[in-house]
Amino acid sequence: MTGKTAAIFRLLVSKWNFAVLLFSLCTVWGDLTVSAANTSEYKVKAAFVLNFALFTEWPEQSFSSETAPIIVCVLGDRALTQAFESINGKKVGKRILQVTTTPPHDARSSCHIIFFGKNVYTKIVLRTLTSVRKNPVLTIGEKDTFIDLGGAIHFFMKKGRLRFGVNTTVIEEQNLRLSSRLLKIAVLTSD
Amino acid sequence: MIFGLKNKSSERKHFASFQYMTIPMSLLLICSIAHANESDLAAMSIEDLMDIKVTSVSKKPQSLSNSAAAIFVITKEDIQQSGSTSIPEVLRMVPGLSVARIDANKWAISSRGFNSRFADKLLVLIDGRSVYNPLYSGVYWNAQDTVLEDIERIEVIRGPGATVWGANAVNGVINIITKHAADTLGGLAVGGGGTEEHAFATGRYGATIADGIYGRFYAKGNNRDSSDLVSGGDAGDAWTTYRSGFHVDGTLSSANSFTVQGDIYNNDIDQSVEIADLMPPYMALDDSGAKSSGGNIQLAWTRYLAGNSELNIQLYYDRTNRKEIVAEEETDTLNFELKHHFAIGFEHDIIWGMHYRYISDQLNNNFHLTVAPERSELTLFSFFVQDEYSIIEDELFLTVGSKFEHNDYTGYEIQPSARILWNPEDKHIAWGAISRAVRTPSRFEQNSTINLFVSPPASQNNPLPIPFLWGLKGNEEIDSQVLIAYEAGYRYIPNTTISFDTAIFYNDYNKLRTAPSESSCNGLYAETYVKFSNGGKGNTHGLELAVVWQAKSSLKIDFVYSLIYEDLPDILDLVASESPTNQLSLMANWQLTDTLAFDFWGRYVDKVCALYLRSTDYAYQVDDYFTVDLQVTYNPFQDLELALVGQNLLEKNHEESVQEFYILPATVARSVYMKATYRF
Repeated sequence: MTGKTAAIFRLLVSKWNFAVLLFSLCTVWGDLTVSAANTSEYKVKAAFVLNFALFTEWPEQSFSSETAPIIVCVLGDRALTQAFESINGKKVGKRILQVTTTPPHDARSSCHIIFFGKNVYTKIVLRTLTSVRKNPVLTIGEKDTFIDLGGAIHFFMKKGRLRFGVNTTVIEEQNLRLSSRLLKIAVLTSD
Repeated sequence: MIFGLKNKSSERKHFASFQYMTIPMSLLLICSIAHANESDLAAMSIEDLMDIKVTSVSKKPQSLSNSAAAIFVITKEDIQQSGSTSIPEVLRMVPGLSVARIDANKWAISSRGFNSRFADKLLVLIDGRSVYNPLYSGVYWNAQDTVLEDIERIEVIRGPGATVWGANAVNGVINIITKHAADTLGGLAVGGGGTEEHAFATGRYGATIADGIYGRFYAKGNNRDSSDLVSGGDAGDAWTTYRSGFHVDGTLSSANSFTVQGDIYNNDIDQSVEIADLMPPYMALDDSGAKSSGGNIQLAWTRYLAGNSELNIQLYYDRTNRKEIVAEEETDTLNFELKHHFAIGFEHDIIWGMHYRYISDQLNNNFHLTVAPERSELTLFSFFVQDEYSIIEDELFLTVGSKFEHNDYTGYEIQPSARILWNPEDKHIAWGAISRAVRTPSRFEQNSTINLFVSPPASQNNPLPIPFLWGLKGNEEIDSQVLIAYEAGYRYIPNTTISFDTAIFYNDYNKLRTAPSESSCNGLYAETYVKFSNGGKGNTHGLELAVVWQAKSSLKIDFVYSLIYEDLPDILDLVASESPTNQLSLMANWQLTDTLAFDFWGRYVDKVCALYLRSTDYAYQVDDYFTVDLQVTYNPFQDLELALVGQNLLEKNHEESVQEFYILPATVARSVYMKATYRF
């Protein structure tokens, strides 16, 4: 039995030329069919974040001038950070959005919005959330436990559509104001 | 007639070429539609965005590491999809690792060659705690476990990791990292059983202790069936394990975080050990089994300083007891580590650290194993520094560093490495490295006498009228084994759905441990000892390939290939077996529906020439094998998961390895088990 299965296996391996062809064909096919769908989840989230920026009021002192940009810090993998390129430079009132993907040295003073991808280690999420606690930073996350960890806005899926939860206690603590238009469509929680 | 045929075929041809044209064109069309939609997203109102249907990416992303080393990461999803019930079995998916099950409760695991039960060139850490046994520098895999559902990831580095990781990280480092306690809130209950996995149960509960402080507690038990001997009959190697532990993680202020964790365990291991005696019947099987127990407690503290600098302190105490006919040991280890990570400007990323380890052990000498002195205290002290210098920002990095280590046997050891990484664009990463690593002598190699076999008087192997004793002897003069490793690797990520990771290596070994014979005769019995020395030279070279392909959003394929050539002294001289030349692993995870998933895992492992001292020419041929595991997972509702797993399905049983001595050759059997996982 061993010899036989191994022999069949070796035969399969010897046909590697065919396999490579098949593989590369499938890759191309996979690329065309999958990546479009995959990027869109994050691109939709990026568009949401643009809207959050529109409907959030930061205290005046968190900007150096009336036209200073809103800094969006994105923590996550490549697919996520690439998707956020689409909102980089978009206008929000007098300001523009400036997306940065490198982890901030000091999130407290440099970011207005922090987006945490679902693959960011909890240790880093907690450390960053703790460092911006009671500072005017809008924290947005994808992890199921994000609100429990002390985050402000949490994305989740419902029937294939994106929904978001808002922890109003955290929003108040961070000295931010969200417009009623946003709160009307959010799932609200408070501690 | 002819005309008509010709006409028809040209028509078909025409139709075919039209078809070939339309497929790419329609695909292009689909893509451009998708593209148009996406660029409009930013202009949409939030209410409209809420109506867009999106596809969730729940699978592991192609997050290939940016490190200049051959690294492979087993994710928590990989562990679930493997259907494995123990850490050693999970490791089979890693390129460059050789995992062979000797019997129901013993494994031979090594990285890049030299595979054997007593493989000695691998460092294994669980949450930063070293678990290799200092007596022989190997790992008792049957004593290493935790709740598999609580493992965040397993990082495996092939090749020397000595610069940062230190002692024993010669051919590889396995770093098992458990989840942050904030990720294990709530309850978990796992239960099941089957043909080989007789019964198993796990309970874990996690809760928020205070604001920012999270904890979990677990208990688990496994009862596993015995295997069959190659010669037929039961191998008498069933085993039962119990273990329990806790893990607390906290963030005190923005600048401090800490972890406190601990485990205790108790294993009852059945085994049939072939032991020697100077009286008739000279060789006999002992069924008294092995008892292993132990525990550990660990404290880690991280302080975040200004300028992205980080200070990490780790302290642990570990106790290991093991009692079996051939060895009785108690080992206490106290370990302290300090690491400081900081940057100088944008170019230099520096990490340095200090490490102190105190090991105290107590052995009970008997005829089978004598170690002098019976009780010993060893200390190990080391210092390391490493600088990652960014020559061109985000593109070209040079990492140089060294570890300076002092141990009681060989004094100071220097283990430097130089690594270069080139990341010209997002899709391509190339790296190369040269490093030196040493494997310092173990206590057994220094001062033990291991009596393994006695041939009766006037028997086939012994023409003398007196019994003939054969064994291994330590050597106080033994020196460290030295490796100079040359490595290179290339990672290619054409798009978000597929990634390739390859590595090649050439390992040049000097002063390898060998064992030349020394004979004497005292009138009552004759004896031959092979005495450990540093007579070996040799090299190993090979390549490893890992491909991850998200073929569809519901289908993920992992392919791994490992090749190694070992140009080493004879297996008897080395007292170590060969490793399989070719190994292949193909895993497929297919999410059929939201509630039903199917996993396939096929593995091919080449034949190996193993060292088996009981066979006449000391060599033992283990055939190549191809085997398949299947798993069906069903989630009737969100918090309940039911799994049916079949392992090694293609044959009734197969052989993977043999232990050098003590244990009779045994097989790995086909098995089936059921598992229920409930979260609350």
